Amino acid sequence: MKHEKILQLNPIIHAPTRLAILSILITVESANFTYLKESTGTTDGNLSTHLTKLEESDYVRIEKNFVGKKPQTTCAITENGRMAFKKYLEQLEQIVQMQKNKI
Amino acid sequence: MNHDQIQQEISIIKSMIEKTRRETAESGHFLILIGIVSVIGTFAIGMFKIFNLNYMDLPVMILMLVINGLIGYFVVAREEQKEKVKTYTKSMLYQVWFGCGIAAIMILFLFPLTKVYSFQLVPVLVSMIMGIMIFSAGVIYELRYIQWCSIVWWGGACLMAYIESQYKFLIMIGIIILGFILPGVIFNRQYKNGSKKNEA
Repeated sequence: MKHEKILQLNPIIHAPTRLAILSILITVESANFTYLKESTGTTDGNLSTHLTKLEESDYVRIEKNFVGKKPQTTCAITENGRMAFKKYLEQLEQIVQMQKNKI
Repeated sequence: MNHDQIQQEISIIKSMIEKTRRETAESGHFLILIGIVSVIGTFAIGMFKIFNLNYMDLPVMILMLVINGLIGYFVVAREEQKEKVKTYTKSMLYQVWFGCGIAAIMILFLFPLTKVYSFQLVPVLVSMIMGIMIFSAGVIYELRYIQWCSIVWWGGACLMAYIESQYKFLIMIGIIILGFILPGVIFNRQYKNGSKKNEA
């Protein structure tokens, strides 16, 4: 039972692109859309979909504003997102430990 | 979830964190530029003293303040606007610099002009504030070399407090080079190395 519980990783974070997005946002105050796109190597549409999913889960806060005349989308991690990411890392650590014990 | 999948997840997390850390490194441009302006200004004030043109001190100091203010605006504020990533570290650093800048302006102008103390004491007090500024920058960015540079400011403050000479400005120039330009160069090297790695 315990074993099963540990292996149930958060599916929202588990997707590689969303994991990459949260890994970036956890270390910064905020990051803009362009930076996230360049760093994760995704397309506009793909990134937008992943960000929407994270926003719906209240893991990420998205703000749209203007820098000069240019529109800019800024993303920041929420407290919920921070907690979920921390929990996810702990679970990963537990899995690694379990695999080590198996060996 | 197998071993390879976990390793892949961990490597995604690690690479994203490292890339972002490199991206958000301080460029050091601010320190280098205000260092150069301050060296030129201090040299000019020193020369005016030697040639008994003391009335030129205040205009030169005001000019230095205006130029450094403009550098602050164009380098820090505009760089901040253009930045793709904002970090708490950088925000904190800029706030510390801003606070120290305000304190330095008060030391340079407000108190000597209102005769609270003489202009002789200005370089000593300014050096103490600048030492705090550089020390904080080193702590915030976890760079020991930068922290060491603050000793130059504090040691220089002691030297200038006890040495009475018209060539005291040369000590100040040395301090600015070692305490401002050198940390700026260290920051810049790290910034450039990080940019190269990110491009690769």
